[in-house]
Amino acid sequence: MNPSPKGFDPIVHAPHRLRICALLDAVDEMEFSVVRDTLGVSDSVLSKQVAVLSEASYVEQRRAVRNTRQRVWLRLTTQGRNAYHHHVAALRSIIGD
Amino acid sequence: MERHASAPTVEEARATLAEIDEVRVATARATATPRWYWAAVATLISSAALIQLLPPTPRIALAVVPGLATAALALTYQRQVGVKLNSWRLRRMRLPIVVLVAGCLPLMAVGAVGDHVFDAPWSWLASGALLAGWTMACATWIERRWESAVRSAT
Repeated sequence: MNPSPKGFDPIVHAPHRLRICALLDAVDEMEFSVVRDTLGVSDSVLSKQVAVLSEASYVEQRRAVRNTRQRVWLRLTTQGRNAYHHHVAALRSIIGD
Repeated sequence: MERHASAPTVEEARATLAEIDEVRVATARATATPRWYWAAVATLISSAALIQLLPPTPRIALAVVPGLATAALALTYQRQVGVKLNSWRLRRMRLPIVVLVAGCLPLMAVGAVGDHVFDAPWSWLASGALLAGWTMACATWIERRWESAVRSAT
């Protein structure tokens, strides 16, 4: 088993969660359905992974009404953004980039 | 499938970084701004010059409308498409944004100089047309840079 480099985050590293973080890092906030469609995952998969990220205080959820329907907006917290950046830096250090 | 918590091998790390890049490309495509949006922004920016042709009272009353309308358009569009982003946060977007804004100032000056120095109020029409053209040219630049800007976002 390889020792984890500094900044490596097992919460972020899970495939779906890493993709969610990579997506949310490029924007301020994104609607749940847009994240789901962009990543090509189901509602249940996304909900489950967002719940893990929310529990770690990496992602915040905000509810808002649009066209009479309630929408959920997702955003990376500062803590989540830092964790993601450190994780990517750790991956880069592994490949010697 | 959950990955193990230990650090990945070099190959796994490389594959993961490639996966992140793929997500970034998908993000860039999902957040690309349509041409009509830029056409609307160009119209609003050029209206700042055209408003100067109005008599003083409506001109003063409408002075802040182009700026407010542009901000309102951006907010409404982002709410409708479900993506809120601050282009300034994307480092590669900063230069086109600065050039767009900085270029608008001398183009507004064309109208002001023509009107006040050469007594040619029609120069505001030329100024409006130049502003619209300038905005669309910068929009093309922004569109071309968008994917690389999102891919390199940190």
